[in-house]
Amino acid sequence: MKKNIFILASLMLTLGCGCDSFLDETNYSDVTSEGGYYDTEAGLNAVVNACYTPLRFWAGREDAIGLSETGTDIIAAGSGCVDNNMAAYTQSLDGTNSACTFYFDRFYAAINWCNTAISHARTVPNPSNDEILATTLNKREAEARVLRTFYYWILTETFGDTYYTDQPSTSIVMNPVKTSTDDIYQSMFDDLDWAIKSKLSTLQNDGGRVTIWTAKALKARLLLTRASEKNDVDMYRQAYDLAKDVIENGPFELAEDFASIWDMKKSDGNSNKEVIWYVDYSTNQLYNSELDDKAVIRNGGNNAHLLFCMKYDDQPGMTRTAEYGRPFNRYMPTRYLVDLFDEEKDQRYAGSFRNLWIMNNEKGKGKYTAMTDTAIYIIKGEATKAQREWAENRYQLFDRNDVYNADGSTKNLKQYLELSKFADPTRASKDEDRSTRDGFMIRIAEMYLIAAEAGAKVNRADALDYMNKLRMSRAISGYEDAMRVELSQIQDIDFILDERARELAGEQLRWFDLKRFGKEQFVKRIKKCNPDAANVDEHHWVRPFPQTFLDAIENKTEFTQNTGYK
Amino acid sequence: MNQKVCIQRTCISLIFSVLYLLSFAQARQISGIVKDVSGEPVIGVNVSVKGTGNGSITDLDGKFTIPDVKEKDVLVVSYIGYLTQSVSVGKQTSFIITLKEDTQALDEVVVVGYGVQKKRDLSGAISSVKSRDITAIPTTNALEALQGKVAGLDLTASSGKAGADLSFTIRGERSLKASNAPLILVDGIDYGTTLDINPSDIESIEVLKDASSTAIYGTRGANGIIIVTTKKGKAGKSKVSLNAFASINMISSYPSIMNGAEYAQLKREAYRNQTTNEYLPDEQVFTAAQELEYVREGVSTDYRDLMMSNGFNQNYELSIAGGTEKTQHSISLGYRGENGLFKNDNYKRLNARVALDHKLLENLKIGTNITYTYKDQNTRRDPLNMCNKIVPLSKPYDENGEVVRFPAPGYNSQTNPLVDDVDGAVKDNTKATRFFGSLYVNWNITKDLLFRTTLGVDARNKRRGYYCSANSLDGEGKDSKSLKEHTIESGITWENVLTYSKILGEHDFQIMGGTSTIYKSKEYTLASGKGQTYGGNIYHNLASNTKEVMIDSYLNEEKLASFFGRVNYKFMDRYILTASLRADGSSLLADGHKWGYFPSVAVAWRMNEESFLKGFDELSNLKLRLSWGESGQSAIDPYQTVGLLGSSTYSFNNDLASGLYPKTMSNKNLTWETTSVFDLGVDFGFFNNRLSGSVDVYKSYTRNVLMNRKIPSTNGYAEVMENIGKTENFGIDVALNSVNIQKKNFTWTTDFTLSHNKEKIKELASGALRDEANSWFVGEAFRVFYDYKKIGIWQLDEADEAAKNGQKPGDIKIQDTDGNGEITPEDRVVYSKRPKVTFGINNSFTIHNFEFSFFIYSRLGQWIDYEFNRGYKPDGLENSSSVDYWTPENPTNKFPRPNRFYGFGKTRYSSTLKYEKGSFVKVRDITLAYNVPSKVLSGLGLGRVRIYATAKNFFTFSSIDNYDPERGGGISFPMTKQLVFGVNLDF
Repeated sequence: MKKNIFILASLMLTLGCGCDSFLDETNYSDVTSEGGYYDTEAGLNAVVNACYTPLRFWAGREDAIGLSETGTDIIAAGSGCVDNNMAAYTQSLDGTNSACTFYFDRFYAAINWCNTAISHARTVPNPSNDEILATTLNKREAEARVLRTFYYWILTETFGDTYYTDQPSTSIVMNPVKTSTDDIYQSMFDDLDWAIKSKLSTLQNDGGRVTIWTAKALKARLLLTRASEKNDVDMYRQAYDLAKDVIENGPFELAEDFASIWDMKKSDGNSNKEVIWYVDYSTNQLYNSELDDKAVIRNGGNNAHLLFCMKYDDQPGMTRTAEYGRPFNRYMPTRYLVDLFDEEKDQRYAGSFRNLWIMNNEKGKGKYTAMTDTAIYIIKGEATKAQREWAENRYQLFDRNDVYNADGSTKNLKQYLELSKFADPTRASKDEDRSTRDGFMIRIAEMYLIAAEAGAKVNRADALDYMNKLRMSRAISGYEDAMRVELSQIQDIDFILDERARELAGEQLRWFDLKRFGKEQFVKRIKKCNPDAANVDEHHWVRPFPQTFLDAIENKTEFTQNTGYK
Repeated sequence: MNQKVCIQRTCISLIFSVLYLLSFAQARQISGIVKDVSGEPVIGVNVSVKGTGNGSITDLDGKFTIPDVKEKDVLVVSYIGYLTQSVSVGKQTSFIITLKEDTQALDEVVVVGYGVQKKRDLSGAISSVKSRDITAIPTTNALEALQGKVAGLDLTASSGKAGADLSFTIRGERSLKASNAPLILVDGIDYGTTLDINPSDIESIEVLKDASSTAIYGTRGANGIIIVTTKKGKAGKSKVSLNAFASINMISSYPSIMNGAEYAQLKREAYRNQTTNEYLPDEQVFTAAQELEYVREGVSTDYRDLMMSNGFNQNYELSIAGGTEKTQHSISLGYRGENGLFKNDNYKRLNARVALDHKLLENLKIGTNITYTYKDQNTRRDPLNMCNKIVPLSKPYDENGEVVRFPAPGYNSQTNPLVDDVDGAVKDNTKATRFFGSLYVNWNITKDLLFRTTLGVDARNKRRGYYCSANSLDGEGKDSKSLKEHTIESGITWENVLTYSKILGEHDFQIMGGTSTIYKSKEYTLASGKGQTYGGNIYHNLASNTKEVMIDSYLNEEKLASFFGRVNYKFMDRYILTASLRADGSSLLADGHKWGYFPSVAVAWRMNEESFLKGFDELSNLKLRLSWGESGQSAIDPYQTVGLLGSSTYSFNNDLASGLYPKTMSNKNLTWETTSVFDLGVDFGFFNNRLSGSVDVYKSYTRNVLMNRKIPSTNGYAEVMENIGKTENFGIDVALNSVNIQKKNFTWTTDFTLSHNKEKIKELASGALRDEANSWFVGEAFRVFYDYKKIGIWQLDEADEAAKNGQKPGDIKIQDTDGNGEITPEDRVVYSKRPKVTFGINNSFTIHNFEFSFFIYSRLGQWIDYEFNRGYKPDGLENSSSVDYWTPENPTNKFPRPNRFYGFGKTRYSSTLKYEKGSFVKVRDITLAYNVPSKVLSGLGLGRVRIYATAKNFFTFSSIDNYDPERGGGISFPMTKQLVFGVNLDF
């Protein structure tokens, strides 16, 4: 009997799997950060690829356009706008704002990825000093540094003094401190300088990767931003030099036909000589996912075409088509913006706006019984009596007084001159929300504008030439000379801002442009040009930190909400 | 060869049978009467001759007659609620038998971890529900029968969807992140969270609540244990029983949305000038010409009405149980069919079970229990979301009766939800099979020493196929989508238990030791694509997808190794001590933290056995229990201790650029979450246990709480899994059972349970008192809402005061909690999501052959996030929940003023509108049953026929109109009320 029990006991102990190896974990499904995967060339490439993905949260996305274009002098809320708090600077613009929260959270995550990439670019072993590998590592580090700069630039411009780190997260920081915008700029300039000296590609672009031209152009943009805020002559000079370098030595050209820049045939950044740097949206929609095989925002792809599209599809004679787009009518131009253009001379009016919709639904003509081709026609100026009488039962006519009130505030939030730069008639169906249009982040035209503005500040003789060269290339044939301007004009802030609006409207730069001349100018210009946003105040010069972030930190009295926000 | 042996054996047994029958030659007829203690004759008592099929049932006068009885025979007299008696026949021919009430219910056997115990010897807090209660009301998930019957178990139905799950917790929630669902064991083996075996296959369900009972399950025990024991065959004549019911499911109540005219008015209000209060002309509000036409015509479509219809359920369970002294069997078959409230929302389940027990040798018994389940479910995207927001100024069908995709003029993004009801538009089908089997060997090594080994195998296979056409809701008018997901889950459990029992005089010992090894894995494969060539292929021709073809797969593995032991000691039948210890090693946790040790100790004192209480005749039972124990949990996803990389997608020059980004922060220190529980309980019984019950007071402390903690996003991670903080639960569980009236033709019993649980966070990792990012506050419950408190709407005469906060009349007025004169984030308050009290009262009446019972269930004091309130559309862009909103003419304090520029989310403080008190009292079941008199049945060869009708969920009382708060706030797949008709047959 005793023997029995003994056998049984030993059996139970053996069977009980006392060995610890039974409890080891092997993860077959994921790649882990341990085991040195990032210290291989493939691993480094993988993390650098990931550093690019958050760019897709920005380029052509609704909340990003909300942050960078609405509430400025040139863009107002359309009827479909879902963040009027941002567009109109209401009291409700506070720490709960979802756009502020989203970009704060996502871009700090992106920065951690960049930090991870940069630190591992130094630790991938290259025992035989292979030159090709060394170049790749150098390039990848430079790419990550430029991307890190781009994310920090948006963060510090949006939130002002904020947290800065250039190290990958290994332990939790519960007490983040604010770094001054000045210091963050210094770090960004250091990163860009490193990249400019690196072995980055010198091609026009490298399939959408960061190139040497990206680094230079971005630095020119940042220098101009900083120079105008600080009135720093040295930075103006550097900005001028860099912009000139990109214009003179880079493989870029101003398009002769402004509209062609936005033609879907040129929507691939690679094939567009205007484009210095772009965010790639693939023609294969599957590659337009973002993280973990999903689209974080909407369905993926470029969404800008939806947002500016005006509400035509429920109007007499019209139905929705792929050609005219899917109207989200989120954002509309202010009257100030449309008035900036001289449509007689400047191609950019016709190249930026759609004002004519041709009947495509004969059954739905409604009271416009004599409608034959035109269904909706929108004119910038005031319609004459004759024009109105002619249109009477032929088509809908909207003039400036139909769209805007006497003070310039918006009146008809559904039918207006539509900013059609991003329209995509080539989408697979009329309801397809994903456009494959690449997001053009920096165009050569911006370098001309920088060279002119910064050059004028440091008395460069060719500053005016750059402005005139740009303007003349944007002229309607025969009006080249009429587009010329004087030196005094490029020395005038208002002219510079107007010209940048004509060239860059909707390209996710405007809000940053307005704030670089200081709070007073920022408020003055918005109040004057966009009465819908007249609630703007100097504290709106930066955005509110997310309340979720402020709730999570432990040093609440130290890292405080931006003044004026709740 | 084998066949030959079989035939020989059959012949021999036939011969014996004949001889046996011959021995009845000297039989005669006997008769008698059965009475209860008060001398009243009892009808329907079963009187049988032991070991034969011979017997009778007493008639109206309590009389019985049995022919062919021999002197040596023994009569067995049995009746529910009374002790079963054996009476030797002898020379007697006439009998007067007095039934004795079953006061020894305490000798009832209760299943505990790795063993059984007599109820009288329990030292822990365990509730037991027997098969009679499980099949008394019609349920398809047996756990539903526990609702309100087990004090401390909080169980709610999650939705009215076909095949919907139940969610339940035992004694509140301890963990903030890790699962709070109790472990469900079927015959000792982990079954998962959905109990889908036939209710009539269940012998008993035990709910182990205190740590002294659960500590033996170590890391799996913290949330309580539900032990389901299935039926086994018994030696004797095969018994066949059939349970069948069918029910009609109706929408219990559903909050209303706006009709055409109401919506039109909302839109006018939204477009009204907020300063001058002037209305815009209708032409400028309803800008699409046809929309204006519809307003004028008074068009109004109720899409919910078009899509919902009554559902129908049916359920059949057939079982056959019996056997010989050596071999017993229990075989059953079940079918369940459910049709939900919507088209394509249905559920079918078939299961079969075989349980066999065989005595191989005198001291060696083997057995097996195998269940096979087949499920076929069609599910669908909730169409109510779209029904509730599509503008009612619309006509869903065109002249030809075809569904119009965008029926609301001017709204080309509001898709007609009826597109999913078009034939062939959507198919979302899941087919699942499950093999759940166990094999045991019981070896009585000596009289006192028992060895038992159990091997359990759980193999699950699930396939989901999904297809939607381009024209469906999900197709978004763009592309068809199709996918197939395949999941294989397996679990292997091997347990060895050695038990030594010995009685030495007044000392009664039991010592148990064992090992357990569990392996679980889950493999997943997905293939999907868009733009399938031919829709009719649904998801069976994925290769024909022309776009966005995708694959995915993963494997998750989990391993647990354990050793455990327990000592039970009883002295003088009244002093009871139980102590146990378990050691668990889990693969989920970090190296160096894998092993955890979980002790428990409990004492009990059966006071009524003491001489000083012997004089109190009214007292039939009094037991004091005190226990302490620790149990833990590691119920987190695998691979949490290492930093995981997430996959990212980008493209360079249109070509794929896959990436891997740092997704989770590694935590090398993850360890067990441990809960220690003190439980003080008293069990009592009075008047021969006609009034009995128990009261338990408990306090539990959880340390190393596993949390997915939100951290400042500047870290680059939004959250990290950590062991931090301490939590505390204090609660009282009361259970009372009373036989109020017991007469021959009338009985009335009442069962009452009440639970109170108060959860509190004791300590947070950082030492801080509040963690606002996670809504964790020391002293508050774990699950809370943290937000501003709405105190009304700013009225016209408060314009100046409103302006101080940048607001105007018609806006939401917020409480200035800290009274500093301005509204800041510091003014936010806490709303607990946990109920303060839950109770259940069940009253049963038996009048002659009729049974009538009703069950009242209630949860009180919890806040819910009421989705309906979030359905208010102040911008008039979509249809809105029908709410009382503010206008200058309607100075309500309920909902703010419509304003076309602000959707719900962008309306300031709108989140404060969603909180509602979710307290409710409901009459959950009302059952009327009729037992066909046995006199009628005996002629038909039937043992028992019970016919019943049950009304479920018909009456709910709460402060929310037209809504059943048990649903928890959601308004998709509304709760149903059911009318059930069923029959229980035994023969």
